[in-house]
Amino acid sequence: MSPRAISLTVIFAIVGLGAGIGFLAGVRRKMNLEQWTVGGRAFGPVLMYLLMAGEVYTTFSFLGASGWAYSRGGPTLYIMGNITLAYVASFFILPQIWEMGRKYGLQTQSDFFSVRYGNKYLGAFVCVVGIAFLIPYLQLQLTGLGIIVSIASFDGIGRTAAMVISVVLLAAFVIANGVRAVAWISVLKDVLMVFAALSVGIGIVAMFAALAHARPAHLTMPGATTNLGHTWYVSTVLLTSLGFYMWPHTFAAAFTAKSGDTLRRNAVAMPLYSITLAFVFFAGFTAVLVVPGLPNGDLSLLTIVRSSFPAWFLGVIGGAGALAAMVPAAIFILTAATLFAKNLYRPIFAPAMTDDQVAKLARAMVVVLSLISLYFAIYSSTTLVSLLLLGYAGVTQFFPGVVLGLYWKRVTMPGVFAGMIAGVATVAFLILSDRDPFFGWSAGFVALCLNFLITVLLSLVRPMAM
Amino acid sequence: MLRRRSSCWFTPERGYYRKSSTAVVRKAFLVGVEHREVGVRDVGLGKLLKTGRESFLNFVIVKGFIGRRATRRFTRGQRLTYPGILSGLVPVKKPSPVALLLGFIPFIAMCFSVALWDRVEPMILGIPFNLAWLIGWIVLSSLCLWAAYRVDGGAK
Repeated sequence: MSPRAISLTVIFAIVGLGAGIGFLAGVRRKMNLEQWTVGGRAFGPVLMYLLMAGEVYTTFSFLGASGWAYSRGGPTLYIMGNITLAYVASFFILPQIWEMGRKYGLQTQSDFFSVRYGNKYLGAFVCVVGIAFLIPYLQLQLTGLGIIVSIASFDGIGRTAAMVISVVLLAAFVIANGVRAVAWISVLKDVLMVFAALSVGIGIVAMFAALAHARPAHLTMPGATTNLGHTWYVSTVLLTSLGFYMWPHTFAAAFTAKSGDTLRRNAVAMPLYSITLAFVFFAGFTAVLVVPGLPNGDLSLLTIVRSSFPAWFLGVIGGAGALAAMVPAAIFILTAATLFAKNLYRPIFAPAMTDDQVAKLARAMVVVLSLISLYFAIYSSTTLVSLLLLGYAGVTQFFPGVVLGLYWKRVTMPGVFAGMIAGVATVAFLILSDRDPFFGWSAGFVALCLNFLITVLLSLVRPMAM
Repeated sequence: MLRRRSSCWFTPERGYYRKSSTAVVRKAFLVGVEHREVGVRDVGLGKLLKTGRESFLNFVIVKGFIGRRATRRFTRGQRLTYPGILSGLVPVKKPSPVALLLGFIPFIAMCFSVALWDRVEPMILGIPFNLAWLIGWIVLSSLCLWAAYRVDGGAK
């Protein structure tokens, strides 16, 4: 068999197995809205761990982390601080969110806001902002998937074909089995990802000593950049670790847990999984010396693997990479579809809808969103990464509303609403007008501070009329 | 202790609410509820309010008339305001100060102190110092959280 045939077979076997698991996941379960969106709130610690890892370790950790190590050097370390501290922060937020979710039957992030602050327009605003920032993230997954599969199959499958096949599969299993399908595919994906990252890290001799000799500045901040220094590191790590669980899908994942304690134990164990990221960094840093001058840093990991591993292993990387895109993409689609049907369409346009009708509309939205993201991914623009940064900075603006809502008695709806609008507007202005970093500070962090300030001040100045 | 507040809401589980949105009454049904603290008889709708929302809103007490008996009647099709949740009435389990302190340690080590450890030398097992420091703190962060978990009681 030619290397291409071997690698293609392995990729198809892995993706086929993943899709099969997805279709079997919900057998003999009645798929009502709550089962579909939050798995009946019955996920134990192991499945929960794997689901959360599944949505966190996306194609960005595969390609982006090594890509940044390759093209920017030192600043890429922020990813390690970001992920670890995100779990630390989650320990103090998620169990409380879960508690509220259990009490009031919450299923989405937007539910949290409409119930906590008693205003459906706030809920709808959160929903619109959330969906708007999920779509570029989704598109990024599909684009990454196209790159991984086409390189890993020695161009045996074109990018577009890979994207179309995977989107059809994932839309099918999401419609059939909802979050349960996604969680079970995560199991396969996580095993493969750890295997792939460990083999890459061990198989590629990390050449730090040589790199430190040849390009010492590349290994520290600001690395190959001019403006990503220590201030940027601190503000970005704070922004991204606080914002990590503010993504609509990561937030909603909290509701799938069986208990708040599951989430606490989960937070204790999650950081350890991110050690595998170090191996991805090794590959990116090593590629600086081995394959210098790549036009696109994101290709560094795959290029170096293609030159130093056998074809079947490339197939494993391709399959794992495809699942690493499909699992988060499936979650994004599921989340965005539920948000649209449940928190935007029903409360604003059709308050009389029943849960069953909402579930039907959400399933229809899965198809619509899949097509939209596929369209964007195929005819993609080059501004993807900046859109993602915008997204991260954007969803973090939910943080004051969530944390103060859980812990501060006096926070008011107008305060949160105004703070959030100011935050999102600041983010959009600073990033779209190319002012990020803003005097060395991450733009999203600047917006977050402003947001906090406005929320607290307004809440104090105009307390609730009670 | 409490003043009369004709526009607030009360349910036995969740205390007082501020009014916020509207719903249509599908069936008029009065429920009297005694609120012991202030000795007031409130009036409400039990499981009959079509809110277009979740089941958690299906028991709503409407209009607490403090200081006098509520005698309001509802008719089919009448629009009613239904409650949002008033701040501070969502009791969640709060982390202890010690647990918070333990959670703050990783932030100091991996975030605020970056200027102290962001260098290549000394290399540890062939890994630059900054990367090795972060890898080490991934494990230590996990330990800090484990300690916080134990402090806060862990599994009941």
